[in-house]
Amino acid sequence: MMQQSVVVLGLPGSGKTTFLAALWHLVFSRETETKLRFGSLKSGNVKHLNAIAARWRSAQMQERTLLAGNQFVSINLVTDDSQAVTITFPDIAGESYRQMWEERECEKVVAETLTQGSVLLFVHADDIKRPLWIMDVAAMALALDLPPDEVAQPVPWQPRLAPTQVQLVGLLSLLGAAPLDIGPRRLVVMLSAWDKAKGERLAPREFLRAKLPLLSQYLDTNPKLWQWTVSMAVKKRR
Amino acid sequence: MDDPSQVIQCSNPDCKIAETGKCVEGLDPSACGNYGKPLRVLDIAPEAEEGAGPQMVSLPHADRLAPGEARDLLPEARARVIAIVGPHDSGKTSLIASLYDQLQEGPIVPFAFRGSQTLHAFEQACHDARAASQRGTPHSERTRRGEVRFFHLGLLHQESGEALNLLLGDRAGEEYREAGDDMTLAAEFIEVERSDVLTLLVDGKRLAQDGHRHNAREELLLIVQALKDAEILPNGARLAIVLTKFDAVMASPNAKRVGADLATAVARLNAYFADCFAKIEVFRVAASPTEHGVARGTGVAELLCFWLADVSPTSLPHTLQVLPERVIARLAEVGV
Repeated sequence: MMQQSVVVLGLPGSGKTTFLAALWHLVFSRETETKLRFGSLKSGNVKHLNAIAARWRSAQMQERTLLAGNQFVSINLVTDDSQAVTITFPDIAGESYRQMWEERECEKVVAETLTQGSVLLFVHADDIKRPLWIMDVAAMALALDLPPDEVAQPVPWQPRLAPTQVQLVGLLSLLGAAPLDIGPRRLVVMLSAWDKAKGERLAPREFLRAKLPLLSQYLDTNPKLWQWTVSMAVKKRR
Repeated sequence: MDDPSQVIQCSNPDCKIAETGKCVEGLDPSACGNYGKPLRVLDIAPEAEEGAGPQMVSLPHADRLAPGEARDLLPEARARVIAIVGPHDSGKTSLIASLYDQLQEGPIVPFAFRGSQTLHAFEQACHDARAASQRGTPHSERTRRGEVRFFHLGLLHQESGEALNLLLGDRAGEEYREAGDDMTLAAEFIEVERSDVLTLLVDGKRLAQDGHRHNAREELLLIVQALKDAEILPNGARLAIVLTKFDAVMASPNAKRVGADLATAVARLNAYFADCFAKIEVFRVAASPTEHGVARGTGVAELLCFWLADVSPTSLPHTLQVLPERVIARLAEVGV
């Protein structure tokens, strides 16, 4: 039997669990023809998958996977030529990734998971935080003839204030450095909530270049580390 | 006393409705499944229950690099060490932040972002000019005194395909100024001793002010003279003279005079130190303008190209053979 492991990576609220729920529904319901088909429930940890798929089917938002709620699920599938394949998806809490970016540490069990397999990187296409500059805000206010904002107490810097693309580059860089480095990996950048970004009229690759240019450059300039492509997922079930 | 039944709560830990009155998901509280429920933690992991916490793994930091850490980057790709020298508040941090800021919007042709080991440090350098700081005007954090540290940018020359590491020395401006009073202090300036490009900052705002212009010019001479007399100016390095805060110069009624003062200063540097440098060039930069009408980052791309000037397809074979050895040799000489 083939074993594949996929690291599902993304900041909190980027759609990781929703994707897993939809994937499990798609495979298990067998309503739609898929390249990899459902195999069996044997030795697969499907309790978590069933729970999140139930929420997804009833159009409920997924509960935020907290630090203590890292889940490790396996799906038994069958290929076109009847080969059995088990895919392991660790549903690691976005909080764990926040901890990696901000506090520069992670739980040992998370580190072990991150040193296996390919990567699915989730980016919420409608929730990309970009830097906003004081002078740009002031220029905008001037153009609109608005009074300047009241000056508040300055907010000290914290890593969590970093733009989305910086945090994602930071996370991928951690996977490319000791102790998490395992050499070249395959990567899919999954743009979630793509239905909300359709108005941009951009193909996924163009969207990445336009909205996340630092991440796009990083991936383009590190072909030895990342063999990558970009895809998209819609948020709502049709 | 408050009625406990009226306490606003939400089971979503990201939601601050109790503080802001707004649902993080943008929903009406009556439609939100999390509203009104206590904060919930899913499936408590056994090790989190009591006693010892989970075993943690340390990951690489993302702050400025110590000299030894910067040295470790040298074998990975061809490196350029840039010493950015200037008195306190001459715009050093803004310049470094602006370079990183421009890469966030796309390549600085022909150089594309390849990575950085100092993302936290860059973000911190940018913070006080961003709206998230809630300041009224852009500000730059003062570099603290102490041992030099380095910002790191991994770049890729898009035409040649060559990977590069740019290491930007960061030291408190006061220390450079004090070297003019006590030359022996310059012996510790390893970032100057091993630099490929010495970047000398001239504070445009001070140069535009009647009471400061003469001191602003003289300090330049004083600093370069101290570096020369301390015998730490590297052979073959280039000198970039950078007029910072160009927006303040343009907004000043003395803009023309600033141009003349700068020309005088450059002429004197050329007269006294031309033999110390392979090349001297002048740049005008508005890294983080506080005046309207000058684009953020004006002049920064040109400066980057000067720093990496011989990284081009035509000159590549020669520099590839020579430069890494030169840089490593310098580091060995200064014991880094």
